[in-house]
Amino acid sequence: MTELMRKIAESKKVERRRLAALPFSEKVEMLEKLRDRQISILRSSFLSYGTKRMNGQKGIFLATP
Amino acid sequence: MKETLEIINQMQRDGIVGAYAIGGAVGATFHLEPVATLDIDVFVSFTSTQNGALISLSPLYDYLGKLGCEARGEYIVIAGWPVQFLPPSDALAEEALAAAISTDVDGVPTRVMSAEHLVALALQLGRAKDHARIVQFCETDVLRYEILEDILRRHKLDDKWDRFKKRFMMENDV
Repeated sequence: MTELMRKIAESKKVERRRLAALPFSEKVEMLEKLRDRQISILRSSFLSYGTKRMNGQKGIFLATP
Repeated sequence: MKETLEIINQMQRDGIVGAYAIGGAVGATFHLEPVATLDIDVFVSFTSTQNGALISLSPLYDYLGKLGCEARGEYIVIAGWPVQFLPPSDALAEEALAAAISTDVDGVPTRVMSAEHLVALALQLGRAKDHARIVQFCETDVLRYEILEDILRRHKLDDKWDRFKKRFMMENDV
């Protein structure tokens, strides 16, 4: 691993620890935003998968209509 | 999610389920950075089940159905979140449920599995995403290794743990 890559990996670790130390309520709020974004991406790209899952087939499942 | 937890708490107060604990990605989020997920895994005990009787989720689904929650496959959607209710399937899951940590989300009380139990359950499941999560736990320095190794030993997961460490962790990570 190069020195630059080592520094990048270390800074990611530091950021992860900072996020991990946040209050749970704050992290849940972030998690909800992540989920909303994930759903938007899935809706635009893989809508057919959601339909399949709701019909009992394997695929990606979207909770909200 | 706050509203989802309020409904689960109400269900517990009404005696539909006993103790519960959040596991999976939402449980991991208590200990780690937020972990993206589309659903909530809730481990539940059932107070009314007699020893040896088969556990039925029907009362839970009936109760939530009356509140307008829609069942979709193995999930039931509560206040917009698909929730999967999981009765503990073995001694490890039972212990994880009993040892869960009390916390709250914006004042709504809830219980979340300990980091060590989440790692033990992930190791037991052994899918790629479970391994990735264990690495996250190790890198975030939230694990109490004495407690983890005790859990792994008691539930006969220590060999799996040794193999995991050899495969995924550098010498100074654990």
